[in-house]
Amino acid sequence: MKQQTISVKDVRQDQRVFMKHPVLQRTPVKTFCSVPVNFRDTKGAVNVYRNASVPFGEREIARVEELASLIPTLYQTIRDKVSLGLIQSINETLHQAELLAPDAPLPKEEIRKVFQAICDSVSLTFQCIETSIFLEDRLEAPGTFDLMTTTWRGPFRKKTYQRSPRQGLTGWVLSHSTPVRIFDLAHFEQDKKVIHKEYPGITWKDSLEFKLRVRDFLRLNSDEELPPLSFMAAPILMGEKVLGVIRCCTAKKGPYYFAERELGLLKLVAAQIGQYWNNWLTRREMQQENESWRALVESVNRLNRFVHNELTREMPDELRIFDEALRVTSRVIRGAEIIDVRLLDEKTHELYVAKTYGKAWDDGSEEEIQKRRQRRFPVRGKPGSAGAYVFQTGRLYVLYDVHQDHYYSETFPGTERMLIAPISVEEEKFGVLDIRGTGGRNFPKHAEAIAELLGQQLGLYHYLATTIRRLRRAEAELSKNIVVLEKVRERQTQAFQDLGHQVKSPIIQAHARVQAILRDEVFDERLRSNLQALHSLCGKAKRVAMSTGLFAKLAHEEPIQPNLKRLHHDYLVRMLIEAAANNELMTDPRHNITFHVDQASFDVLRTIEINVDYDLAEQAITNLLDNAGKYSFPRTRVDIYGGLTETEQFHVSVVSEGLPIHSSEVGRCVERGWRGDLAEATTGEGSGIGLWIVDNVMKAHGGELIIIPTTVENLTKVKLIFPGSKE
Amino acid sequence: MKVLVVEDDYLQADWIQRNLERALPGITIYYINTELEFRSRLDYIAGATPDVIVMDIMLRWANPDPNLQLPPEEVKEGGFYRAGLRCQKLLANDERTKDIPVIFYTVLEPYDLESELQQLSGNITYLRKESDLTSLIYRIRDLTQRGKQ
Repeated sequence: MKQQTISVKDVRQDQRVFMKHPVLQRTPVKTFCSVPVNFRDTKGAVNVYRNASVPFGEREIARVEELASLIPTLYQTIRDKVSLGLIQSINETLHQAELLAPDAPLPKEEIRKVFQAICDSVSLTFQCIETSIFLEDRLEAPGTFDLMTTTWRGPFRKKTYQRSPRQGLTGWVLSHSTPVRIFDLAHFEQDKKVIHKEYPGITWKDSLEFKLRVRDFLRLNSDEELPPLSFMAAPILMGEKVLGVIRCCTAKKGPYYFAERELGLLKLVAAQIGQYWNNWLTRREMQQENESWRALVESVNRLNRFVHNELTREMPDELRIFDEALRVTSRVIRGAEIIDVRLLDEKTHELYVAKTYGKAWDDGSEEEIQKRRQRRFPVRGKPGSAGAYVFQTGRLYVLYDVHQDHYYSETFPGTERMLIAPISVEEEKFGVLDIRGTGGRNFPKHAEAIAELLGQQLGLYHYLATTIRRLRRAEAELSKNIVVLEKVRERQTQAFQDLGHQVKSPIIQAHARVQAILRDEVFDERLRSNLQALHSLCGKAKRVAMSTGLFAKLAHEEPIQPNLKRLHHDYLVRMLIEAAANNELMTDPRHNITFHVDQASFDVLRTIEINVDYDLAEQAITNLLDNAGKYSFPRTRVDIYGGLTETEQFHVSVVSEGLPIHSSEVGRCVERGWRGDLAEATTGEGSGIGLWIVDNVMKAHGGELIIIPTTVENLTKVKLIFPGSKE
Repeated sequence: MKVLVVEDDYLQADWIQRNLERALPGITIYYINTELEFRSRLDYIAGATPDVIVMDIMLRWANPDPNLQLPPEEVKEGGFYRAGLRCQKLLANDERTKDIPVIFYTVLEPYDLESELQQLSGNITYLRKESDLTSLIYRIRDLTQRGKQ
């Protein structure tokens, strides 16, 4: 310490000698000399021992002093060489690794081998028992530093670290981004105060059980003193970002501890590893991005073919397209686990879940699943959800940490991050594409661009599908309308032909009868029959002609304007008797259908004033009788009677026994062109407008047509109600 | 001479019958007034082999009856408008009746039946109903004489 040369002539006699020193204890040393050595700020000494009892002479001491003066330079040179050797060796290792795969990043297993070689070099250089490298793979597990390689041959319990000072020495280095060097871990607890001055809060948990195992590694007996469990660790950095840590522990040879120089060298090694690891990550990131884009291009090509096939179907199903698109999304965006398409409900202005992908959608009870799938998100006004925000702005939104995002509205508890892309075409917005990630892995940077692109693709597909569906529907509607129009046209043609038939037939027959009448010279039964037939035929021709006129009027939605006159009892009764006779004559006598007018029932007309249009009233009544004649069963009687209703309105009623009118058909009977199946089958003329005309005639009178459904006795009653006032 | 008249208008049928009987002495006239009756009596027609069938075109399916048999789908679809043509088709499809001459006697105009008339074979005649039955009588006489030769 005094930096003086000492010559001890007899070690046993000299009080300055520490006789308990192992060297003096084990060897027969008699004399020695000690020469000071200075190396920068470090002080030391060179001791030369002699077993013979001959003290060192001045010349000998001078030679030792000369030797001592050379030692620092020699030490420095050796150290430099060792350091350079290590750096060169690592450089060479990394260079060879680069040559192994010049075009692509090495697989991770190969990278481990590279780092193992580095660990071995470091371990050899520093003569340490443990050298370990921990690295963060930001693409796989960001925030986690996993053991990459180690030289430690014992059990390795803690293989993963986070940036936390509570996670031992390695955790402290990661969290503080600062190197650590501790002289002897065996005295960590005793030296804690001193250590904490330099490394505040640092802990040591001896996860490798150094204290226990180092003795075995160094093959020391239990009574032998342990060398210091020296420790050093350096952060692996890229700029200010911590990529990992390299740590060394316990030197196998003297001086058994790591000095500042070793730590400096370790920092250099860490810098080399950092550079290489960052390059590797960047290259792998680029490779993944390239693969993603390539996969996207291939998938979009396939998707386009799928969409094309779907769109050529009769009715394209866009949900099938979405389903395929969501599969593509999960393939091309790493970490896209829970995905869905939400579309706008134009009626409620809400986003609803249209299609989903990912097992999480089906987790939980049936009720939870339903609730999740039926959630709705209003898009009007101030956005209350991230989806609404994206829909309104039309821009991609990234929730790097959903727990920190004020727009986030939780659907899945495990969600950590989210990408929301608008689904739109130009200015037209349809919905949003949601991509959720769970666990520690971030979405790659390019995922945002891909999500945006997929949103645009989905927008296009949605637009095409809905447009084509609309067109197909219109096409189908058009075809249907054409068929309907064809039918209407056909019916119109038939209706015209039928009208012609109904008018021409009685006229031709009437004309024939007139000629026959003119030919007959005597009034006999044949002449009488011809005259009766002529009367009936003319009546029918008149009724059909008037029906045609009313039909034309009503078809043009022109109102019927009745020319009202007081209805006289005698006129009505005479008209009814004539109409009954005519109808009876027109029916096939083999059917034996008779018509009977209850004349007395009309006496009520003498006490009540009824105003009618004579022609229209006759038309309504004869239409009813015509129907009764056409649809009555053989050997039945049609009864015609009048009277007052409960509300004292005048009615003319026709009761017949024939084809039934069920209660369900009553309303339809007065529809234009409607005829029941049975009626349709038993008529050879007409087009189902008779009751429609009667109904309108009655309404024009302020009256009513009432059809009472057929009773169990097969009786059908039809009433014409005329409003009137008592005299 | 046997003539079958298929006509659903009783007055018309009666008028034809009276006039034919007067103009063609010895004539026997059968009378059918619905499509259903025509179909159910096809075997009878084949056996009776009328010399001529006078057929109305607009013809009802059946007369009202508590046990009314509803028409088959093709009749429902076509309605009564061309019932006579359906009956004629049945005759044409039956070996026993395909050669019986048929006179379509109807108030329908030729232009109403343009497409149907084009498809008719040689032993089918179209005649428009008129007050004067002379054309019909001549035609029946013509066809029956041709049949005898």
